[in-house]
Amino acid sequence: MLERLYHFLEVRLGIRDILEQNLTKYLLPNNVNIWYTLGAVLITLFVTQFITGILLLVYYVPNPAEAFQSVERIMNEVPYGWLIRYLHAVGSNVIVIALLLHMLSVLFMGSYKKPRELTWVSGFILLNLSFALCLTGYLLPWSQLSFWATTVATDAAGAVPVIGDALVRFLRGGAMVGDATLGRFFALHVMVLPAMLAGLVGFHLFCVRRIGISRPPFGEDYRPAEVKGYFHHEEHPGGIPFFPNYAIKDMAVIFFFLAGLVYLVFFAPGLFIPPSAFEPADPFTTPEHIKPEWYFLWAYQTLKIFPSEFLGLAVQGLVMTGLALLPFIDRGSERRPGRRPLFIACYILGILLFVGISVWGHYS
Amino acid sequence: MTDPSINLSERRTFLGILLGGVGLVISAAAAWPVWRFLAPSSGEGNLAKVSIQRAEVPLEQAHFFSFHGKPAVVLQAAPGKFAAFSAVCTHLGCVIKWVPEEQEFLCPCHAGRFSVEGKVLGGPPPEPLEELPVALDGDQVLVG
Amino acid sequence: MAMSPERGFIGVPAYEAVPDFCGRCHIGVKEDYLLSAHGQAIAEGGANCVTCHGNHVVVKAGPEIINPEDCSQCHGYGQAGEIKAAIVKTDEMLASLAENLGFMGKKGIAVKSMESETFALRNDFRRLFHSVNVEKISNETADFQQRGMAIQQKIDAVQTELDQRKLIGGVVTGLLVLASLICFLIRKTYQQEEDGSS
Repeated sequence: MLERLYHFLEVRLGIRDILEQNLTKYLLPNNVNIWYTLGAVLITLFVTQFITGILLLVYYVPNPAEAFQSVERIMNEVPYGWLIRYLHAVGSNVIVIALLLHMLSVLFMGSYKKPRELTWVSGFILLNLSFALCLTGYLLPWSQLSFWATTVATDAAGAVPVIGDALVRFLRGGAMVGDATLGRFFALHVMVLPAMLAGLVGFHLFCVRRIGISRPPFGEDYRPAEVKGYFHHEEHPGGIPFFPNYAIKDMAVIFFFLAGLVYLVFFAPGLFIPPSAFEPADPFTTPEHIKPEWYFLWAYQTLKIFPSEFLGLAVQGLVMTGLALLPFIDRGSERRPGRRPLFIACYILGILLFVGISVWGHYS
Repeated sequence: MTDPSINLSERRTFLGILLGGVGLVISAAAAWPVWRFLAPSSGEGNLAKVSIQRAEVPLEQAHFFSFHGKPAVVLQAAPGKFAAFSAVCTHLGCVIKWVPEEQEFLCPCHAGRFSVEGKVLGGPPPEPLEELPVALDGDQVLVG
Repeated sequence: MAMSPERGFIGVPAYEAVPDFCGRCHIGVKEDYLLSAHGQAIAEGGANCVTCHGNHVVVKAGPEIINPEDCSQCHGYGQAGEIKAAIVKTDEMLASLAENLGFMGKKGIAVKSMESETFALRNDFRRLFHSVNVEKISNETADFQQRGMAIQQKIDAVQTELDQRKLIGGVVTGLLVLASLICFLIRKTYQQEEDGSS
């Protein structure tokens, strides 16, 4: 029976050919390393977010009068609601960690360089879409934490010259965070942003597959690939098959990340969900020590360091634009870290700066 | 270690079976909470009586209410004589209406008619309405 | 300036007016106090609120304000000591209930109803011992103990579930780590093959 179904599909779709081309005959460079598994890890984590997100949607009520209560119900009454909610909330943090590692490894190995600029740019947009998902999702439980973190975050847009105030009003749907804000953040979080994310992930993977995977710039016999003026799929003859040889490594790291996620969910959810997340939002009482999530601390602190908010915002914008357009700025074909001392110095300095400013932001 | 390739494939098979087993347990551990999360609340076993103010059921009138999550009706056909039924028509599951002029129930879907005792008077319903026990307690009517 | 009557400053209430002053907020306690031996004797210098609780630096009072030194300013410590012995355990229990509930609330457990129950219980208990009636206190303390225990049992049930969750979570984490390790080992068999062939 199954065989006949397979045969039916095989005749019409040529499944064997697709599978061979993408699994067993899809050869990866033989010095491919563990950092190349992060893409598969991220897909798994995003799928987890989609599933848990849809499940939460079953019981969540996007209305300021009931949102907090509905989340409290999910946490206390719905069977395993706490688990689904924690997986979703903690999972978002794990995704940010995986995204940063993915980006840092690509930077270190110079994989963003020509002809992979589009892969990089789409990846960078994906990073920002993920941040937007984090920000919009943060408001939905309508807790003190949600409410005031969103107030502070949207307020930063006010530093933009001329249109600042209008921008803040647009983001919030009014002068202050309120009913209108919840409505638009909800729509963004469950529909607009996920749809954009899914589409862009598709494009990102298409780019990766179309141009061919980059060879890690390590080992004695590594030479930078010659970049041609026309389309050329980078092949790796004599490389290792994606399936099963490398897929099992993907699986290993995926399981490792899932273990980390489950560990955090069961043993340290408080790391990402402070007590103020369990108090209903009160628009008339600002809690003390309101801080954004760890991955926004750098932005929060830069706004405070500079003498004017506008200057801080401008610096942030400059850094982000510079990163987005990196492959068009850093155009040399050399990818070996040892032969790019200036880049690696900036790389390490950048990481230190990010960590330093974040820690400063945390303790200030 | 005479033939390393056989050794490797044997080890791989063993590890594969092990992985399959662990994977199965993990899948079950993931599926169970999702099932419980989505399974409807176990209100079925709820045997509590539902009480209704007697004043809400005037003479020759019917009062519709929710009985353990399903529509039900209580009526006072004669003074002090109360009866309660499931309000779900036995034909295709529509909810019946009370027609005071005729003193009978009518299913608006296919014109099934039921008497004040729940018996079929006409139309397609195959069975009488499910009757619910009624008791009086002061100014309360207790159903269930 | 700040202490001018026009601005609502009442000044020092007369000795006998102190319970009325404090009782504007502590209504229940005032009621029981006025019926107590202390309250009945206020005209003859019976202890009023500030006798035991102090003024200005009033802090959250604990059982330690019942002590030989303070009580024996007016009468022997015997009865006071009995009262203290009778309430101290229950008072501690109610205090720890409130603390446990606060702790759980910070972890996202819905504790509001248990919290208000505990608050009401503590309030009633305070009213009880302000009657300074040894017999009444020792008769009714058992009831408070029991009601407190009922709440404690609910807390324990929640705690047991939280512990169970951790156990299951630990097992699942372990399984995932195991799966990861097996995958790495399988990868190693391929690695050996690749190294052999090249």
